[in-house]
Amino acid sequence: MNVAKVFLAIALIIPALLSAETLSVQVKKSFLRSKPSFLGKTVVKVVYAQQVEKKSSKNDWYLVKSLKSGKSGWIHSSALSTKAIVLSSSDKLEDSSVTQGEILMAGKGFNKEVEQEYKKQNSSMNFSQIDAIEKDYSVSRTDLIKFANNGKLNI
Amino acid sequence: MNQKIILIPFILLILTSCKQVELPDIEIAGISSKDVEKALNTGIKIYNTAQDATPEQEYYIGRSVAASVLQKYKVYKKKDLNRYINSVGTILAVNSKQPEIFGGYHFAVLDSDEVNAFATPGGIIFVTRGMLRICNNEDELAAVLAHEIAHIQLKHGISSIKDSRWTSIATLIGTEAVKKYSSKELASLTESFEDSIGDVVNTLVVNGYSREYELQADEYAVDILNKSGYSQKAIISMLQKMSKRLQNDNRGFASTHPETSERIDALDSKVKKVGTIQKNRTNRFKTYMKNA
Repeated sequence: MNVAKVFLAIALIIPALLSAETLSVQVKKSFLRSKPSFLGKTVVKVVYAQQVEKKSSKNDWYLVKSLKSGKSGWIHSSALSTKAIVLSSSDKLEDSSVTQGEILMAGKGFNKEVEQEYKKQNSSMNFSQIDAIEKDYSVSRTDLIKFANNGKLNI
Repeated sequence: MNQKIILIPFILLILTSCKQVELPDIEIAGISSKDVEKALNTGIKIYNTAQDATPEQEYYIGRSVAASVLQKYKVYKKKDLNRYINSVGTILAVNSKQPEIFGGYHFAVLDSDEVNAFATPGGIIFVTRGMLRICNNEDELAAVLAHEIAHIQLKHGISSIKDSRWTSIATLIGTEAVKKYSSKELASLTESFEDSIGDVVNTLVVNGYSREYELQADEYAVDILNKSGYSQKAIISMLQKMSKRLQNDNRGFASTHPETSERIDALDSKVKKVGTIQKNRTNRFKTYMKNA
């Protein structure tokens, strides 16, 4: 009897272990949310290269657990990559099973350092305006929901 | 001999030349050479355009492209108007296939009478006051912004960067782990960066996209409008306005390459669920446009 129970337990656990997929946040910042929609309240902030464990999915939304905070929530799949993202060569990957081919080196090629150098050579370019565009006109979640409801639009 | 082996020289030819290759029209072992050609050419096309541009690289390219655009145009700094444009744009982005991009989507109004809109690869989208003035309602504004979001997600801007730039970057950064660049490496990388920005700006501001890209962006925009709850008909009415304009343009939404009549014809069969233009939307649009 006990043997049967052990087998049953193994049979249940193995698929769960196999399906646990580790993904990386591929955007500067995003949030895990209370439901699979941008209407969902934010549970926790996640940032570039942080890893999450996928538990389930609904359409293009994944229910994930942040390996950093341990908190779970929904995130749109476009914010995630199957590649592990390494911020620097000294970074230790939390998931040691990833192979070289699946690793994406953050900051390789065109990066902030290159932008700084380009800026130096093109001093007439106004990057502070670009920073302002990225910051000054953003719309909060609550304002966006109001805006959508008022105009009978979807979120 | 296995007949499939016969195809190997052709495959090698394609792989080594890395160009669009035409095969003689033959069929071996049930596989048409045309199918092989199509599959391989598509694969190679992806390799050539998407390359190793990570979302992060696209973001930095986009920021500098936007800074270049702002050397020619000034931002129209009315906060309420810009926040309104961002609300419309964000609704469209969340209803698209890729609501999340590295630095997010950001929209800004340009103080120019020209009728146009541009999208930079990283997610910054510009629309001119001239363009806003010819929109009659929020749905038409949404049509313009959806078309630009489509260009970003379909990677049209980033693919205007010449292959040679990616080759030099790849040679430079190699495959080793991240390290601090030497001043010589940084100089070469910055040169490739500058050339890449030039390629994109040239496409956005001077030459415009190809006929194929404009049609693709129109088609995808219809899908985004539909999912968001905007009227799909708005894109047709905007294109009709473009076709009536005296001055032809080949850039951004106002592109007349292809002819706007061709763009309208191509959309005709796709615009099915028309959707209604809500009064609330038009009213708030008119309020904000007083400042445009």
